[in-house]
Amino acid sequence: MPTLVTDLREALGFHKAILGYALADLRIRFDRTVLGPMWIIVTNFIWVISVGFVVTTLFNQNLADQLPYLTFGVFAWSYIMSVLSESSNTFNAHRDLLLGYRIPIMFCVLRAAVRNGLILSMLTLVAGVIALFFGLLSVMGAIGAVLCVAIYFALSIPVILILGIVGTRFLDLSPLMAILLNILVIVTPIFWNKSILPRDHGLVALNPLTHVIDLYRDTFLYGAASAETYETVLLIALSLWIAAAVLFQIKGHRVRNWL
Amino acid sequence: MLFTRPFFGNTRPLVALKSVSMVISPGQSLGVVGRNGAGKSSFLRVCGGILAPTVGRVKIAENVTALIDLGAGIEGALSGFDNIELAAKLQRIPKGRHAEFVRYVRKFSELDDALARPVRTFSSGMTLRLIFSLRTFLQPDLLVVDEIFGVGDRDFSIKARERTTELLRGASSLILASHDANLIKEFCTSAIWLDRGRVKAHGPVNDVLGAYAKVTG
Repeated sequence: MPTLVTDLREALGFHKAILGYALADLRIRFDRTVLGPMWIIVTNFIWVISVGFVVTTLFNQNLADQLPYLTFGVFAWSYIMSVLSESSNTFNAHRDLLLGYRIPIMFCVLRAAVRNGLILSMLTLVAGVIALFFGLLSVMGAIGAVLCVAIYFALSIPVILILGIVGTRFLDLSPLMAILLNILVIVTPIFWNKSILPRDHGLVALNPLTHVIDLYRDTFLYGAASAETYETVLLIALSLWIAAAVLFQIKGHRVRNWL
Repeated sequence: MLFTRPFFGNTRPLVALKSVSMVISPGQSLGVVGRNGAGKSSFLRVCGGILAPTVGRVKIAENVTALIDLGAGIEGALSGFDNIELAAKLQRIPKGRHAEFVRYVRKFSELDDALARPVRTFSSGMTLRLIFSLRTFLQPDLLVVDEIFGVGDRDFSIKARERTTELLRGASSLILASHDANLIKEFCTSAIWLDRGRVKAHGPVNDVLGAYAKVTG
């Protein structure tokens, strides 16, 4: 029976196909559109400006001052939302491929991770330009941004695998994730700042997404995230990989049968 | 070999295959017969290394081609040429043979310039031509085939049958599921008859086909 490591190693043997299909996914997503992948940036900007306008009006803040904070937070959230919402359907979307080819199931996980990683890389380039515009970009920040993309990619793999396996067995996961994302977008400091809370609210720190978003946003705002943020995200990553390895060992071999 | 799919409200497991045990050595060819839903496709997927049994174990040759779900991996929004490129990567065709692969698909499918168009604009016959060509370039050691001869129009169907015959003759081992008794007699030395996931008969082709014919008429 394959383990997560052996399946992952086997999937890496298909790296050219994984990259090819991930790039094809992006082409297909924007097939017959005028702006193509630029839509990713346009939609995020519209989101930032419209929500930013509402939030800064509500809290009586200056939109220009809040714009970098909102933009980097929204870019990070956009990636997290995409990974969380798509993951439960990862293996269902690959039904024909998994039942027609002798490929490891991690092929599908890596395809989704690379596809989302490419989108994040694009957003990060734009974030870099915005940081430069606001005079926030430093050499350390640029290195930190590359590191951020790598960490997000490493975090996405176990998340896609876990949600993919559970979502294949229980199709209920997709609508549940849609509800959860609606809650997460409110309770996570994306459009609001932790500083507006009357005191350091423990529940915010308990939300793992707070730290994951802080990692990305603080890298652009301050050149680097705090050591505490790095430690917490590392702990989250480690926990996710262990959970993914255990789940793979118990149920990974059943994915094709469920399909 | 047991596959289960319990649901809430229906906890009876779906057993696709049970107590199937056999060895297919290099040089052997096995025909698989049985009614629809007898477990033939599941058996082929297990033999092709695609599905893992929930009980028992399977040891499979390294170089296996399973011609089961031919349309897998095709992206309708992309052009025929893009799909050839993806299929080359998916089947891990060495870079040095890519040009040969493209020539083969182009010539065999007879689609020529149409390959520049998105596959979604192809007729169903054209799509079948492309799909069949993409999957029949490599010569495997073990070939697992699920009834694929009736592809495309009459001319292409003959061509597809000839190409599959070439692959069948070139493969050192073969597992072929078909409702065509003559085809199984032509290519297989032994056969199994599957019924509701169990082996009803296993032995020389003529014996198994004879027993199966008595039941199915």
